[in-house]
Amino acid sequence: MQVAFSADNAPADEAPYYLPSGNEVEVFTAAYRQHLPLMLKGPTGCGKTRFVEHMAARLGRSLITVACHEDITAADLVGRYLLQGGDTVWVDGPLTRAVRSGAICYLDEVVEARADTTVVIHPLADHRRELILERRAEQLTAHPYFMLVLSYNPGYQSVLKDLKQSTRQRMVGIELGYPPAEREHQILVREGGVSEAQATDLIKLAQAIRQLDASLLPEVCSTRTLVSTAHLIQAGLSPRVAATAAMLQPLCDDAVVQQGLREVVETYLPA
Amino acid sequence: MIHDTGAHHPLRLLAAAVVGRPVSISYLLDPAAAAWTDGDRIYLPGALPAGECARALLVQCALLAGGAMRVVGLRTLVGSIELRQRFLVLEVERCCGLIESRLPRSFLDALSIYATGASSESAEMSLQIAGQRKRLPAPPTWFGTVKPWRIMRQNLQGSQRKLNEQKLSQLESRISAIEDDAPDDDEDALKRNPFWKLFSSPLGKDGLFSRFMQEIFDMQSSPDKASADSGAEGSSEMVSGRAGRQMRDIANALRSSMQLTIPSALMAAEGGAHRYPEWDCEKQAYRTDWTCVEEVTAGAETPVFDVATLASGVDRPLQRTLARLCLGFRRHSGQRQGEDLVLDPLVRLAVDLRSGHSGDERIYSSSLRTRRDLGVLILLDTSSSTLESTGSDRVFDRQAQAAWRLCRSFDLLGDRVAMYGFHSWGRTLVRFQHLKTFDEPLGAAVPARMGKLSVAGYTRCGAAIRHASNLLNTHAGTPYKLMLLVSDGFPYDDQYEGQHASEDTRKALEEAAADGVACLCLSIGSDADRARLLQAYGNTHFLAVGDVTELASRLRGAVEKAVAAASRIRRVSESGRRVA
Repeated sequence: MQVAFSADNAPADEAPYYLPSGNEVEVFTAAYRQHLPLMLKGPTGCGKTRFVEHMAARLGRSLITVACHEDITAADLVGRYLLQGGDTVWVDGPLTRAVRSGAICYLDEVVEARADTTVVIHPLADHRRELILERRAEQLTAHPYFMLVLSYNPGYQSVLKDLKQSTRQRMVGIELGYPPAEREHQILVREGGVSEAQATDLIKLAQAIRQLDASLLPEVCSTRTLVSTAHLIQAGLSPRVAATAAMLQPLCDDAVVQQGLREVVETYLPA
Repeated sequence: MIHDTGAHHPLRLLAAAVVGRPVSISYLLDPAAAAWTDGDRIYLPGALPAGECARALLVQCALLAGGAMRVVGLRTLVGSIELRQRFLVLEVERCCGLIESRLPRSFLDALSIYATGASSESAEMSLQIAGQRKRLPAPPTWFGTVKPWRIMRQNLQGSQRKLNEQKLSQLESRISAIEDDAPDDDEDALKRNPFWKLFSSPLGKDGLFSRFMQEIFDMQSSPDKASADSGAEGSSEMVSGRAGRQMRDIANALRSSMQLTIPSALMAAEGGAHRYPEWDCEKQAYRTDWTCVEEVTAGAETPVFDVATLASGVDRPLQRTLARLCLGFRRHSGQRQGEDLVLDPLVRLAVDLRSGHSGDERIYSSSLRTRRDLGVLILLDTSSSTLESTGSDRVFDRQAQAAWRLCRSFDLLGDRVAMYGFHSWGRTLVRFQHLKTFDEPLGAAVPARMGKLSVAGYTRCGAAIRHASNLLNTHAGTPYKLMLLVSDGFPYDDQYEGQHASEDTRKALEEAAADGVACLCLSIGSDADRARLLQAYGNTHFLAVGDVTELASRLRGAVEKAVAAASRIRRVSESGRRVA
């Protein structure tokens, strides 16, 4: 049985660290207050998930996360009858749980799910705010604190994998990018625990690699890989070794491009 | 002669990261030479240790990124070493300041001792300050040098052509002849001389200097009466005294930098720069590492055609004809009938039926021919010959239209598509102008890049086909691979013509087919000689259509033929390999 990963996080005492680069916190809060569903766009590793965690904690709501994939079905989201012994028992899916309890339901990488699956969120995402449980002939009205958040990365999905216009048009959108240099610097020092000087070196390296165009690298190094590099430096690795392991290796497999990137790393970071 | 550093340190990615666009690097064979840039390419001494080499490279990258070599009035730097050095110090400071956020800390520290305090805001201002009396620090050797003559020559028409030894000695002999004729060294007379304007007026494409250089490039191997009567003689009559000496300086400068560089890709494998062999039909053997192909960003300053003319709608007929090309099997679950039962929906159906619902009967899976299994690389010929117009529009416009339609149609169908423009100037300068890679989504950036294509140079097809087939093999990731070469004519380049070019192109096509890449050359509304094209490409690899709309009816058959030929050749070559 395909069951999507879903985690119910009770509201945290302290909000996970997130440093806004624009007005995303205000937009999120306004959308929450006005019962509008939200769509987060942005490249991988720019902090979409962290942002949602931060906002859930800040607003005092618990967070239910669903990682979407191609085989996810509407029943995986809504719930289904399961056989238990000789009986059939209804079990709520993550979306239904969130609707009932007033949690924030976060559908991560929602384009990975097939378009016919995402259609179940339509009545939830407009003025009706209702979830229809077809099997139980039940119509659930969402808890006033319920909020739906989707995320996706418009970069690497092909044309065939795109959100339906009818789904998109129901959302409020926030576009996240990699934070500007000085903010990313703060994030590295706070989250990665490296010194100011080391953070400066890493940021300069990232700024340079992000200049490379798509003909050489399909994706560039993200804030997440920068933080991982900082963690490795913390663990005692030299900056060059840490950057090679955490930034370059995940970036591409082409040996020649790797060699060129190693040269970039050696120019920017001390041994 | 060349230090090992060059061979083991591919610096092209570093340069691209700092400048913000792909940059070509050439290594200077003279170990004592200084690094410099002509506003397009970076020339680095090959004999520097790795650390120093990176530092010299960063300086040149900053100069490129800051547009230091695009300044109007660079000619004032000619002849004065001191002025050049002062300009260099000012510009290095200004340009490094512009991209400070992405320059390494250690490099900025090394730079700080050469601060001028002049805070120049533009290259023009630097030129002005350089001419004043302000005290400036002397640049270290790793700042390299500025070569104003080379930069000015770079901006001339036909400037990418090579000046060979023979032509240079002709130029020198002419200049010395002028000097003998004109012993007069009177400054006023010189200033009155119309030739002087050549040095004091901004150089345009139709400038006298430009024409003069053109004459040098076009000089016959053995000067005869005809060339003696040509414009070169006419203009040289005006040269006298100091101007003549200056011309000789140019000749020396050209000689000193001639044939002394090698593209970095010919020394080591580098990201974005590649080397390929070429087939020599006379010797019946490959010349190894003969050509150098580089990927660059399309960056012409004046758009070559109007992007708005690109069709925006969906070309339904073309899409329909391409829709059934090269489909693979894909397992579909959720079918009402099929070969296999799928457990999950089956359990669900059982539960539904037991709980009194009707249930979903789509419980089978089956293999259907629906998977798009095609990777397409579209190569657009951007040589200068495509600018010729036949009838109402230019060949290039028609080709760009066709390439764009094909790219859109394949992309909408879900195929993997990449598109590049290509042209060449001799074997070391084959360029792929990046329009779209396989991994990029098709967006507004692609037509914008098409508008910036630089259309010039020639067509070295063999190298282009080899590189395209390499790209398809490494990046397409699909079982079927198709290369569409949208070109106006037969292969032609410097020392690449006639039978040699045809045979090399044919050989490159064979190699591509052996790797499973189907090739098709599309000629669109061009009146090029059909017989010669057929000789180069052969019947299976060539399709001529009069107009873009004809593609819908004729493309599919031609592509199927090419794909079939490629898979046949591949089978043969694979079985050959097994036997061997």
